Amino acid sequence: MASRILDLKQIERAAWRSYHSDGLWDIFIGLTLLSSWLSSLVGSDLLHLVLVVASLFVFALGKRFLTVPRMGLVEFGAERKAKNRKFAALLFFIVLVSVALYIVAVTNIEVFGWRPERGSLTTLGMSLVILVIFGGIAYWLDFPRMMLLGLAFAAAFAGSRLLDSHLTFLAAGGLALGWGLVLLVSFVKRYPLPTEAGRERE
Amino acid sequence: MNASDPEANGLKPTTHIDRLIHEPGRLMIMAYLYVVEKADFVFLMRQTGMTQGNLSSHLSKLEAAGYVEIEKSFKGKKPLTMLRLTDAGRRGLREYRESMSQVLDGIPD
Repeated sequence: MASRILDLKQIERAAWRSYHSDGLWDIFIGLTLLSSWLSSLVGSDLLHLVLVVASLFVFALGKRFLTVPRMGLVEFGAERKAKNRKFAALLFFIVLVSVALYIVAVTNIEVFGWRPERGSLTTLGMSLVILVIFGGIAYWLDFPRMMLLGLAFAAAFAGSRLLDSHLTFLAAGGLALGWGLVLLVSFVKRYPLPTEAGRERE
Repeated sequence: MNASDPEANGLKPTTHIDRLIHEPGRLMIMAYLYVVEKADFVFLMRQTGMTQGNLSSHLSKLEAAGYVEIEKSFKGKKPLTMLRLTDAGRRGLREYRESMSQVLDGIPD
């Protein structure tokens, strides 16, 4: 009964989600997809890496200079911190697996009798892996929109393999980036910077 | 039976409800601070939708009651006001929830 009178979990979730209403995740995923398209045009893996790191910078700078001054600073509770630690561990695991797969693909070595191939089954499997990863992120971050971004990512990946065209990355990345920018503009309008006069009343 | 006696009419007494917390604006502030470790003034203003003056006034009352700890500093040239619920504040909100539960449980659907 007490939880119905004051649903603290719901309040915490709403506060947490408001931090993601700035569209920066969407922009980051959009830029990452666009960097896949651009690097495939040029044919450079290094460019891809540079652009992904640049996207991360855009995300971090956006949080630092756009979100925090408008939304304020907050340190969430122990439960949320534990969830974030698990999320960081999951991300670390994903990075490790990605690096391992990259090495396997580049060196073309056989692992336990399995050699990576570019067949449609592998494509489907990888798309599902992408979906599962994004689903995990959506769950751990309490951020359902991440599942849609995962869908865009998986569709771009599967489309690029099945249609043999990287334009799918351009389409999915453009959509995610556009949506992120719409959210960002709306966020900035909804939460203007606090006035100096008001800050003196704190 | 005394008609003005709530207990005699089957209603639970409400005298033990903390009126300082019961005020909707302050209840919102307490609830947000309960679910986080600490937050700054701007965060609380955004979440509660209160004006700066209104929030400031409620916070002063909660601080005076010992429910909220206010720490003022500067981040660069801008003032930074960090807020956290004290142990008394956390206890107060828990007790308030229980009290309200007891009172409202007695009301039929």
